[in-house]
Amino acid sequence: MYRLEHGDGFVRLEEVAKEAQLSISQAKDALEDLSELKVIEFVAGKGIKLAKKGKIWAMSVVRKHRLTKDFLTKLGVDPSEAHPIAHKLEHLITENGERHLEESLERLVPAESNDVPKNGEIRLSSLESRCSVIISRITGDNEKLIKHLVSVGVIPGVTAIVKKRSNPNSPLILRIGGLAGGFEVAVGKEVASSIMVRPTPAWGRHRRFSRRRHRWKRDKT
Amino acid sequence: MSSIVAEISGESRKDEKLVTVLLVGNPNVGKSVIFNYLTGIGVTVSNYPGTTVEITEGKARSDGRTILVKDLPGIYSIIAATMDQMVARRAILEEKNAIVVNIIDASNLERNLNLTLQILELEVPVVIVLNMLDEAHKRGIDVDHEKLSEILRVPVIPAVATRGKGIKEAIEVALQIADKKRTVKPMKVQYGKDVEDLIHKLKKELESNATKKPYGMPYRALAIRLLERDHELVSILAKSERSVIELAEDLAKTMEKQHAEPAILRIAKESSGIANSIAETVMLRRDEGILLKDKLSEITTNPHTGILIMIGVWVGLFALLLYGGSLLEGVIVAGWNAFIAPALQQIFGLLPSPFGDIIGRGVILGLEAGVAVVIPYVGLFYIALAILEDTGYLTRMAYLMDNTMHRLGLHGRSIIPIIAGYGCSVPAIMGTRILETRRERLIASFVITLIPCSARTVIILGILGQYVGLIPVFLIYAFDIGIVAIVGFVLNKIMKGESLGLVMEMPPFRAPYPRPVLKKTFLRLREFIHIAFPLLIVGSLVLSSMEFFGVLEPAASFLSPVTVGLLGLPLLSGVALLFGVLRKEMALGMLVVVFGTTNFALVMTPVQMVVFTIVLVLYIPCVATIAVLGRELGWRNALIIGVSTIVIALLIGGLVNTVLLSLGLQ
Repeated sequence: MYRLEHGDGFVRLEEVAKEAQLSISQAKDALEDLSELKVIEFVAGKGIKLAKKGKIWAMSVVRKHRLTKDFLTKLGVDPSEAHPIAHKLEHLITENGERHLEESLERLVPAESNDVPKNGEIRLSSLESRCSVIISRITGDNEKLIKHLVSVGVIPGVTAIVKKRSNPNSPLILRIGGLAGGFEVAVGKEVASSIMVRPTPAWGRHRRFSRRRHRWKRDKT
Repeated sequence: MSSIVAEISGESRKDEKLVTVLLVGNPNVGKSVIFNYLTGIGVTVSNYPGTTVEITEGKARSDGRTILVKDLPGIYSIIAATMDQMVARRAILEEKNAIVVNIIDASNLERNLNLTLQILELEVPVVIVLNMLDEAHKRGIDVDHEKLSEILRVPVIPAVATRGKGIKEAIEVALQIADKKRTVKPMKVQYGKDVEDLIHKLKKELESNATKKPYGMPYRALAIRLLERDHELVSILAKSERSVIELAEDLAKTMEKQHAEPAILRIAKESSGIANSIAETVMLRRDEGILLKDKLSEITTNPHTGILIMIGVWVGLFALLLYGGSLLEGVIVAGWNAFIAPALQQIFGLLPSPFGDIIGRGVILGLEAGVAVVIPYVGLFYIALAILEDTGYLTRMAYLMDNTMHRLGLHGRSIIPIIAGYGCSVPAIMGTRILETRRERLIASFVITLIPCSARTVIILGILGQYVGLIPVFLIYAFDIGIVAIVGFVLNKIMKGESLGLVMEMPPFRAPYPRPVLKKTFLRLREFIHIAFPLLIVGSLVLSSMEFFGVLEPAASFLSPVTVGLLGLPLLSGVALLFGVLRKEMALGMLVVVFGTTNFALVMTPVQMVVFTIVLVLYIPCVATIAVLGRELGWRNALIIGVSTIVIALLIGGLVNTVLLSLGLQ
């Protein structure tokens, strides 16, 4: 489903059924189970959307798929064969297994590019709704960009609150250094795609701000 | 934290009486408020030698002594990522008699301390002004300034600059240091052991080689920056100190292997960790909830409310220019004609005829046009711009426009010089220096030449506003934005390369203070007058002498295939277009001259007026703009832009003429 998502983040039921090779009613049952687990959301008239939890799941599965496929091809398996195997294994590999896979893959090929999310990392550009993260890495070798980010205070190790954005193409606003006494930096989408973050324990809990805003709005009306 | 202390006194720095104070700090920490508080109107802005970075300088008095105050560009760091940072770093190191006054924002301590730590590494005398304590308090943060001073081992002066609190004290302390009445032994910033070992190794090598210090930067700071592969320092040392540079590269690689991340990130990470721990030690937090300005920030960046507000601000700005500007202009022109023009006429009357006539007429008209455009339109616009800038609204606009600007190959920040283009193209084009790549600067500069500056606003108002109505005026502006978008889109497609992307601080909203706003406006106006006035007068002189020798009409007939044939304009209007190159708003005066009337309704149809205005707005920028394009982007590019704008203007003018006529309008 993650792969099927359109630009607006919605998927239609028929597409899921086709991809999973299920009948429409079978797919519907399966999706309803997922919706109870709050992995996905149904939106009338638009389709199905991955909830935040679902998105993290999906990303982890996609990651495991990619790792397995890479691993197999590095061992000499033909990519066309590796792909279906990876499709099956992606659901079986545990977190621990994933870490081992990653490590052995790193041993097989010294990392040429650091542009692959490591365990638990999420690309900043993939975040949409408000959440709290720690900046873990800045990838790529664009030295100018790294310097630029460092000098405005986007430094690995700092905690940032990512503000909600409604359009997946608009820049993200990061609030660094806490709600009181921090500062805000806007980063464009391409810049955000080279920043890796990890969720903090307060991930998703920073509702305070928006709730207050709503209350304030109500007061006014 | 270690107790190794670098001992610095005012000794080496104080040989003469004139003490220099350098104001250093992040952007938006109240540096300019402090600068304005200290200095009067006698302020000079100069480019730092060999760069485009501006340093504002003024004199202050304290206890009967004169102090030279220099306001360095606002920076977050001295890692030399930008020209501003390089210049600030050099100024701090090279000003031998200077005391560095580091202004930090109490409500944003951690990030501000990052810069402070880097300054301490430069081992120069520092006084810290802990500013914005009131704002921090409102946000639920109190800072123990004594404890901060204890940790950093430099004087920390609590301040609320907007109310003038703490500034005098800071200057007094700076003077005490300069007079050797007080010595400062700043804390030494201590990194993790592995990084520290590498720094130490490199420092030893620098010492044993007796490497010449670039700008007098101390060895320890030099070692740290070299490990980060600082381009400027590496290139300075590359020739004479091969072995040092090689060692630095080796050590940087060692660090990168140990930590699996670029050396520059490792060092930044550690120093931000130190800044964080200092900030947490001296800060006392209360839960204070959310301030109105934070709500405001959310509302103005929200895609729905934000865009509505942005449109509101735009319309308000134009309304101010259109109504307020023409009102002021009327008053000023009346005053000019009543008092100044007759006086000037008498003076030029003393010269022998006909030169007295030619020169007198040219100078008087040139000056009048200048005064009538500059004060009402440019002045008002710059005041509004300074307010938008100082409140922090301009960055919200940049944020909202990022998406749109991307289609033009630019990012959100470029909206700032483009907006300035509505005032005058010349400073706007110079303002594109804030963009990172040459490609972005080219696109932005091209787009700016198509934006109606205040001189063109005068024409739009003088012709369309007077004789056709205000709705066409607004339509022209909207139409122009459309053309700008198309041109930008095309340029983005045909020019190679990519932009670095948007990384922009969003400062909190603040109420604008009148003094900094007025000072900014004054400095900008002065810059405008410097560039534009000489050209205005020369242009007028050329015009009045050509009129005298009767070469205007032949020139007009030469242009007739284009003006009459393509654009359907009256023959003589070609003269006006020709002279618009010298000075755009001169075209209006020329129309009066060639038609012999100020009532254009008698000689032009509304359609002709619309076409004339469009062509005038779009075609070749004025001489001053071409000059600045040539200087900033090279003459080849200036020529390309000039020719392209003529083509665009003629194509669109012809098209509009055909469309409007075929719609049955006249």
